[in-house]
Amino acid sequence: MRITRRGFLKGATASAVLSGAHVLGLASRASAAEGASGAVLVLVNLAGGNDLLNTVVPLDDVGAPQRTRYQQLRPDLAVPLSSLGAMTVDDDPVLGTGLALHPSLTGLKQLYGEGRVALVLGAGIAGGSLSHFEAEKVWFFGRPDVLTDDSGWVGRQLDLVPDGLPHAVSFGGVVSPVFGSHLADALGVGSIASFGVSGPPARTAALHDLLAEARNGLFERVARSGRILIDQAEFLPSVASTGWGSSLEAEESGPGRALREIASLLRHDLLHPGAASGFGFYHVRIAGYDTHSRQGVLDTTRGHPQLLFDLSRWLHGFQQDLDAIGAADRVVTLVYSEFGRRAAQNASGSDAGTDHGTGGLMLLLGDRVVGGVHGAMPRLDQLDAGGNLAVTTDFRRVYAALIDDFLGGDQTAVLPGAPFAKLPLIQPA
Amino acid sequence: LPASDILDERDAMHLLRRAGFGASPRERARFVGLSRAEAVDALLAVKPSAARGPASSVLDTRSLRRLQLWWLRRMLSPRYRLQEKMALFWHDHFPSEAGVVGDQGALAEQNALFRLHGLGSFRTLVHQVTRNRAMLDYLDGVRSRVDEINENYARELMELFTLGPRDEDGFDNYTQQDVVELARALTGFTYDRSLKKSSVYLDPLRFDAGTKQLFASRPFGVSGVLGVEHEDGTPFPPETNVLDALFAHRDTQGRPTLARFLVRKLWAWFATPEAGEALVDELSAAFVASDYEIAALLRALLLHDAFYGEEARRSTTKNPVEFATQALLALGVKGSLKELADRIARMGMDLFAPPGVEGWQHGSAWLATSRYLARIEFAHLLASGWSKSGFKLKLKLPVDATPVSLVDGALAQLDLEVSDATRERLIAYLADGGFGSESWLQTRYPGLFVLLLGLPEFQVH
Repeated sequence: MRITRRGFLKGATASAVLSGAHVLGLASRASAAEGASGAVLVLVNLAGGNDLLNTVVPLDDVGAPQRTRYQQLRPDLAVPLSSLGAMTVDDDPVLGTGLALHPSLTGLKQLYGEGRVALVLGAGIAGGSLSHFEAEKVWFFGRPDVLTDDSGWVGRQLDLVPDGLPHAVSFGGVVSPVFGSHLADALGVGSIASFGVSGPPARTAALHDLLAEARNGLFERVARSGRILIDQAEFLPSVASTGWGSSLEAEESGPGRALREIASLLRHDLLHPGAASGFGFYHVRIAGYDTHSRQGVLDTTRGHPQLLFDLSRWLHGFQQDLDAIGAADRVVTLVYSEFGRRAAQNASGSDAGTDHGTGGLMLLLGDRVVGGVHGAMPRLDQLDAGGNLAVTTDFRRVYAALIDDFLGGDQTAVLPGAPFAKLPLIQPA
Repeated sequence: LPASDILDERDAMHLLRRAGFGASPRERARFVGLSRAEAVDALLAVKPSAARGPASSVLDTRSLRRLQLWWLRRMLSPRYRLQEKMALFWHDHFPSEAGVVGDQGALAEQNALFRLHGLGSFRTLVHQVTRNRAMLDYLDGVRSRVDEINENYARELMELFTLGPRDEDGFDNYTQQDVVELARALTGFTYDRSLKKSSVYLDPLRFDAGTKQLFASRPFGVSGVLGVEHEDGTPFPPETNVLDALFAHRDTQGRPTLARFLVRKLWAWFATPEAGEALVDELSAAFVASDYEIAALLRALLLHDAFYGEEARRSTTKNPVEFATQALLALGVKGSLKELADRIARMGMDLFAPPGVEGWQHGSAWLATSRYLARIEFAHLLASGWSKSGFKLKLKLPVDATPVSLVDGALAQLDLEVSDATRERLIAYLADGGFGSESWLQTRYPGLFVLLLGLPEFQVH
């Protein structure tokens, strides 16, 4: 049994839907919602607040006493110079201080060397909250002025071209608020491979019919979720998500599997343009970055170094997959976190961690990205009264660049307060 | 008594779904005809219990599933209802993640706290949670001491557990400096890691005995050597006790911040996502008047006309525990329930493993595509009669059964209200497939219950 996904989702009567023969044909699904020329944006959220200073580490005192202050602030957490020899990236564009990636980020360092990684230092928003939940909302919603608005910045982009089809997928089950939208649906998916409905076909058909009944209010919203899931349960497991040579083949769960499945969907879309998924936006949440204690320095089997090690491995594998399937020129990955961490450590010895802080890191990855160091590292000799880093780069300057220069959209239609001065992060197609 | 004060079938089920985990048809009949007060008092009349999970030998296994199933079985029992509903609320409100805490004994101990104090004094509960082993570990209280202040618990205590970040007019309830000052006052709690049972105490060498100022610029601000309890366990007096200071917090209109914060959250948990101003005024006044007795607040809430109003009916998405327990109780499912905890986890509610310190996201988040799918897959499992999964669903087929009688009976059993068109479709489904034949009995008839549990109407209560 095949159903017309478009017709079903739009709420056509189920009998009409089911009488449609073999029609998964959604040739025109690559609509403007996905941006110009099939651009795909993958968002990777480091939930909890990633530590800028131990991800991009100051090496010397050029321009300001960055290394000296770093070691003073973090006697038990400073990444030692001896471990950073092979990890050097470009100097801080403002101060000229030498910088290096954490030694566990070898895969990212390689991609950096290929000019495919942009590091945006000191990213955040002036006066930003140190509450996870308030700060997250500001990043998800792309606006600092509301606390209850339920539309995400990507959701508003999707709302501009409503076509009744889902174009965004959140991995991890819950739909990220970044896709919060008034008109467009987003999927929450654990794994595409296991996304199937059991039971005999007659039962599934009856469920179709029941979900397609006219309803109001909350019931209609639930029914719509149900229609989408039945539709996707036909499609998602049909996409080959293993066995095609992915670098992430062995990832059995979590963000690694999610990134493999995203690559699998992109591969499917390239191989079967007539039955493409229609997905232009993906979100992957990686938890664990709230490193209040036992943050660690070098040991990649625990703490922050382990988080970075896994992140680098997954992103490198994902980029290799994109190269292999020929999608590297259409995908940009944005890695972001709701805030950074306090400059000083909060305890000594192995208990040492860092509390919530300002001035974080955004990282962009892809062939279309202008590689190198952007923004500016906050000065460690000029912390604010609470011991926090200055925010040197408004994160909306990155969103603006992605919307205008990558998605082919218009930042003023999506970001309140726009236009923002775009950072030069995206190369012309 | 006015007629409206007497519970009819529909009122009784509304109360039992919200203040409990649903009920079997027989159990619900016991509530029909009671007055609201009789019914609510019956739900509240449950003894505080220190029950804290299966034997510790069981907890030593690395799997959480036994502990989860132990708790789910209590939820399914008609003896506890509101006690376990509140334990679940408190677990969501004061979460600890197994992935962070690791020690299942500590998690079970925290869970027992919610059972022991969950209907008692909120002052006591906040104090007990503050000195609880799992919480001290989860939010780093045990690692916060005079020379090394860790802000984690202090921030979440105000933001998520008692006050909220700002009041209803948008003013900050506290400053970053208040987070630091509160964190200093909360230093010193520690426990003996070699002991299995709770052994939390205040170590004076780790406690910051310096002068602090909390809410310095506000009329209710306090200063001095602020803290929570002394070395011998006696609490600080109200003038210097930072927990009392949280209760004394007033918003910019002079209203009790903590009471209003908790009332809103409990109203969303039991009734509807949004509470009106007058309702919050009224319920928070009751809460304050009782000196923060949770049972007093719940009584006022569950007896309120607005709780029984049409706006509160079928207005909120069931969480996965509610979805599963209501289905099991209504259908009279027996068996070991072996897979129940795992199935509920797939629906998004892995007990003792909430997604973060904010607990679970409620409302439409429960019906994200994969989670809704997990509900339908659970229904398939119930209906499959596959005994290995631990669910025994016995379907009755009276001799004079017709598709109409079976559909109407199942709708009533599951406490479902559906449109005529939906009912007709269900009848047509059941009439098809060789009514009464062996294959009909094996697949078509059980399928009815999959459809019913998959209906949008069953996801909402």
